[in-house]
Amino acid sequence: MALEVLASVSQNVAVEAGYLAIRALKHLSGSVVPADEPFGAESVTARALAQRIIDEISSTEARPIPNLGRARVDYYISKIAEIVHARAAESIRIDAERGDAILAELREEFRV
Amino acid sequence: MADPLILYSTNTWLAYVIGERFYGSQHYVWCTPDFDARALPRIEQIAPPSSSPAEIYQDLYEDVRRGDKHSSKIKDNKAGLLRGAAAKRAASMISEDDYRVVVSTVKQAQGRDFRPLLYVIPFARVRAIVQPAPVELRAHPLSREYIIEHLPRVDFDALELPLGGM
Repeated sequence: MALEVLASVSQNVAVEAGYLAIRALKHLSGSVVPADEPFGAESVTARALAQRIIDEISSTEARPIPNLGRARVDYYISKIAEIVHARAAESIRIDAERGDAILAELREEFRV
Repeated sequence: MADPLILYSTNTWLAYVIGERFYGSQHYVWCTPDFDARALPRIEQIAPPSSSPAEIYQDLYEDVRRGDKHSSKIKDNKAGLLRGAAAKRAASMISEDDYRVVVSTVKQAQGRDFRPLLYVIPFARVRAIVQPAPVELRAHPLSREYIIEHLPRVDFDALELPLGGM
């Protein structure tokens, strides 16, 4: 399954491909449509990978994406999102303490 | 077809505050003039209810209220925020340090930080910056859906609906 490929491509390609695949799933669409290409050439690679993921999901499930049903769509969105979460954070050192401090500040400032 | 009066969009509190703090009070939104597809006359119910801001709000609200740690909607929102930060970093719109802080903040966020907010956007104020969503990504080819990539805070109201229970 192409989901595993997300672990081996570059970080930008993985994050963008995951994002595009989730978007196609969320809208129950079989096609990957990029709104922009923020990562240059890597965006093009990401688009192709996202389409491969969508095609493989459709093939595994033996039905087109629009017929998948919400539960299966949610299952794949969760799987892909978890990989995106991991890949987006791998090139930097997560500063949990600073993240917590910023959140506390924002919760105080933006109560809406 | 006449221009709509109002556009609606459901987003998370976390997306809102990140836009406010790190992206110069600019917000990426997907919006529609149809707040709740179920409330339209049957003949006008083009989009499935699951794609309307009202339904998205309710679903997200329920996931947060229940403390659903496996919510696909919350995971999806997190992935979108991380991708947005990576894209802004790639375009040099934010510094490496800000990128690290945004990612750390998203990683540390708790369930309630993903509670929904309803954006109410007067169309007349955004006419020049609103773009129709790609047809392939609309809930229905004929549904009215728009994307605003850089929506200034001054051009919308952000509401938290008093549904209780949270």
